[in-house]
Amino acid sequence: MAGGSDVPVYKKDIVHNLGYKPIVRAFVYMEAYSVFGLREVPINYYTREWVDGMGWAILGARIYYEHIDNNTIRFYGEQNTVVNVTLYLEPREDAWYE
Amino acid sequence: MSKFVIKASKSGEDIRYTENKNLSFSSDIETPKIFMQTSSSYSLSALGYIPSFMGFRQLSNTIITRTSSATYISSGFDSGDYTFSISSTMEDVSWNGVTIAETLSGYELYVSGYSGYFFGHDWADTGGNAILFFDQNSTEIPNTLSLEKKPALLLASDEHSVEDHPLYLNVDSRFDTFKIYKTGTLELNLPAETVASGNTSSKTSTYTHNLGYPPVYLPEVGVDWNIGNAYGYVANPFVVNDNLGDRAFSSYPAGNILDVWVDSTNLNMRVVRTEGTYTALTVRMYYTIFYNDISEEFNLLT
Repeated sequence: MAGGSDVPVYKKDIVHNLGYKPIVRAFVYMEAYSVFGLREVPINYYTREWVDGMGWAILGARIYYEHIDNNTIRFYGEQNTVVNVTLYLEPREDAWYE
Repeated sequence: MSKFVIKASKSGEDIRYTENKNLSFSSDIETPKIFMQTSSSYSLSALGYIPSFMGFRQLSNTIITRTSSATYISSGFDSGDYTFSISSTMEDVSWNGVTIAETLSGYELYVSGYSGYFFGHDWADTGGNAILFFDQNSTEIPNTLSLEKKPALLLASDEHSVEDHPLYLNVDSRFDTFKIYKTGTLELNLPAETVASGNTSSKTSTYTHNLGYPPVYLPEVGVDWNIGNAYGYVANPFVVNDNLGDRAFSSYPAGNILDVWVDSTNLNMRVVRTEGTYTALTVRMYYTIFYNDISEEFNLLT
């Protein structure tokens, strides 16, 4: 699994049991140091943390997801991140509008 | 309790028993209701909540990708090319791309292209476009809308009536929706190769839609997606649809750089390789092209 985040990453699963990978559209309302407003996931951003003796440290952070199988989507992000998720049916591998 | 449901299935399926994924329409499933398309910022105070949206970048011929501080790749884009604006990753420019944010006067839609520099990406887009639909991204009770009185087909969702806000209707003909034009597969078979310093190697796979305008497409893939850096392990074949959530821009582009964009004639998928040694890789994307025009503008709330 790719990294890319300097802050502790937490995870949360959505089990949809569709038996295939649906279209995922996920949004987070950001009020971070580098990104503000409603943003669609995945999001790369920076956050600030005060370090005694050093001042403000700039930390990279990410909110993202992956399909861990055909029934489960796993979301990653900082603790207490609220992700608004909508799943859409997708006519994809059988491409029935060919 | 039984209820009335309108359904249409794809050919070859028994409409009575087939799974929902084989339906082209069901009144029992919410259909996205598009109420606005715009290339400009707009106050959403009349709506009272944050709606869902799709954001697009209108590209330009000045976009480059730096593979180091000294060398760069010309993107080859122009202002007729559009791609997804998922999230701005600018370090200093918070409003780049498409977003909705709270202001003193309520929620505001901000629409712009990407502009600036971030980890080897020099972006200078022509502009941005947004498609807004009623799906709710915040918890407020929606404001009552004053809509034009005209004949309409309305189908409410469970526990709601057709008098309710369009947010709670499964079907509402007063608004636009996504209409599928074509689905299919684009595939690139990239060879094992060594790319010498200062050179690049690229392959492009194209579907010619000939719609005469840039259509909305899925999956939501943008340009400058460095699949080589975003993944410690790149599965072969690499299915774009299955890996959308794990994109990262936060490094200098290297490895396999994926670009997906659309213009008035073609849907394009390109992989560019910079200096390095590569194993063979198949990149596959199951696409859906809609009749909806990214560049069209309308406001069905007024």
